[in-house]
Amino acid sequence: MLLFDPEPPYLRWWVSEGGCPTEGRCLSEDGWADQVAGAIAQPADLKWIGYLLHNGGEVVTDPVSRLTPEGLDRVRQTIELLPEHNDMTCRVAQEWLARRPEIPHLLFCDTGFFWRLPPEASLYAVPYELRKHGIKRYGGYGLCHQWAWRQIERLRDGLAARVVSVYLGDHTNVAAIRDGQPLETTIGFSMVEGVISATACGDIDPTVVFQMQSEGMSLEQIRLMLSDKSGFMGLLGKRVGLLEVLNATSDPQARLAKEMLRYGILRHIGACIAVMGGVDTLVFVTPHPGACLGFLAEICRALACVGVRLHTEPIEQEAVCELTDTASLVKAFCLGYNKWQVLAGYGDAFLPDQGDRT
Amino acid sequence: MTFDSAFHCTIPDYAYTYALPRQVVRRFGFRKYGFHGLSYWYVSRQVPGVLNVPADRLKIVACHLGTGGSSVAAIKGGRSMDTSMGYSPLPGLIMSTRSGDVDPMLMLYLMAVYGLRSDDLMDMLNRKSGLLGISGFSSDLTDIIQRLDGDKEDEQPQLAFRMYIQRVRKYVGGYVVGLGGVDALVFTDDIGVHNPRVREEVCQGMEWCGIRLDAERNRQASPEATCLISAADSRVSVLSIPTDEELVICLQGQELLKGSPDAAV
Repeated sequence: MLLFDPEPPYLRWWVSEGGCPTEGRCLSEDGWADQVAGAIAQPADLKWIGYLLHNGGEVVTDPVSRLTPEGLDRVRQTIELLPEHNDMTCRVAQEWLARRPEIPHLLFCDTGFFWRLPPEASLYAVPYELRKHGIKRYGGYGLCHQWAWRQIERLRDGLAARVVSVYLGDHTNVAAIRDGQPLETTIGFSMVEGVISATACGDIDPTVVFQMQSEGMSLEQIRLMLSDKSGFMGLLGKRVGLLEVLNATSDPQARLAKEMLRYGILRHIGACIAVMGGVDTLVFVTPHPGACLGFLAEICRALACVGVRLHTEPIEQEAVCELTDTASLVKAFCLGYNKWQVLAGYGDAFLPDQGDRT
Repeated sequence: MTFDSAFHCTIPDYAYTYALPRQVVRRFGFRKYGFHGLSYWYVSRQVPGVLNVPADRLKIVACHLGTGGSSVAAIKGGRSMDTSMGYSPLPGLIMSTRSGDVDPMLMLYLMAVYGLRSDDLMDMLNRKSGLLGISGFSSDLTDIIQRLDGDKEDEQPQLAFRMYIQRVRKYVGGYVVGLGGVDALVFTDDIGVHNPRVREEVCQGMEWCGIRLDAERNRQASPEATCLISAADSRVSVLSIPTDEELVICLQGQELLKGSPDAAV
């Protein structure tokens, strides 16, 4: 299969042929389809093509769905919600739908899982005249949280009724999942709300937007600042990833970034537990399990007050790692996460007769 | 800094900082200031006496639920560690007419895509949102509670009440974990001391952090006096305390004249 994930200005792609994955990125320019096509050794063996849509708005509400040229017209209605990302998804889908009309095309929607958030969690306390413009909390990383919940359900053999799922990465976020249903999440209308991330500020007083605007900053300047120049980047004055922040030692701004991340995660875990009326399982999902274990141990120690008891033995770095000991009332796990493999799994499950059997 | 924010000057940097570019933070003075400091100062000094535990050993989550503004504070050893209002009194809990927390991007979206003016939007979030915005008929929680047990078709008051409670619960849970546990949960100001139903719903299903309300004590609690309303076997003491912000102004004024360091909080 072939998968695309927009990350403006780049388009990231991944292809798996005979169980052997290749990935790359290209700039969103003419000729990007040829670049990707050139990397595929056996185009005739391609079973399906998938596209990640970061915000499906009120239009795309299923986590996985079949994409057709007619359906793509509807998907375009979501572009105004998340202009650069969704526009890129639509453009690449249009190109490949035309190139390979004979194979299935799948749309993976990262807000689909959270479409069923209850109104208490999905609505903002604003008048109806604003809510009618599609102003609501859509959430994000739904495919990841839903996958994590399924892994946990299997690991805990049906004992995972109240799960807090934490994605730890460049865009850390937290979700409450009760009996498989999402009840709360930290990402709201946009990815800016919630926990501090690599380039987005996370929770702030909305009044600052008006203040900046009244001092002459344009809407576009403010938008770019909140989503692309804040977070770790705002604090440190340069672009840094999660791992650099977790390894912070001497730089006081990096220490502050790490403290804000730690505190933001803890505070939102507490909020999620309160919404569910308790917790039995915590799951941390991260592309960097090995490098995050020390930080996760810190988080777990701070959660002693809710019944988390950290394993005393050194923690092994595996795809699935149990962080808590047998006496812990609340279990905590860390799952290694490969976005592409997980999406491929979703696609194969959606198209059972056409999966790449490798 | 205003008197009402002074209590919050002990909030650590990781809780008061907004992760915006540093030059913007410096230019505008953006950070969390917090409000209702007089009220939190007052209740946090009542709790040690009632529970007979020294203030420096107490972790308190206090809910100042007013008819005007509402907020929650995390207090450790008598010092504020976090609070739900911010640079302005807009964020945090759902209030009578204020929205509380909203994603800042949605305002940019409404201005850019729907052409809303920023003054109108600011006015909407501060004066037409919150309980009024969701219920569509009243900013008064008492009106909304009266409509709860009536007609089942009446969805808006139900939604407004559920959202109001959920937001308080999220902050209580967040601060309990942020503090690493809690010894006392306090309800204060008009809504906090006059509404047993609000206290009951906030405390429901909070056994995970040791909170258990005594239903009878809660119903009979007088709004005029400090009342212990938790069950005898509750690990956390739940209190309803009428706040007295005027008294605090007097007390702090006196302390200031005497030159006490406590007046500098």
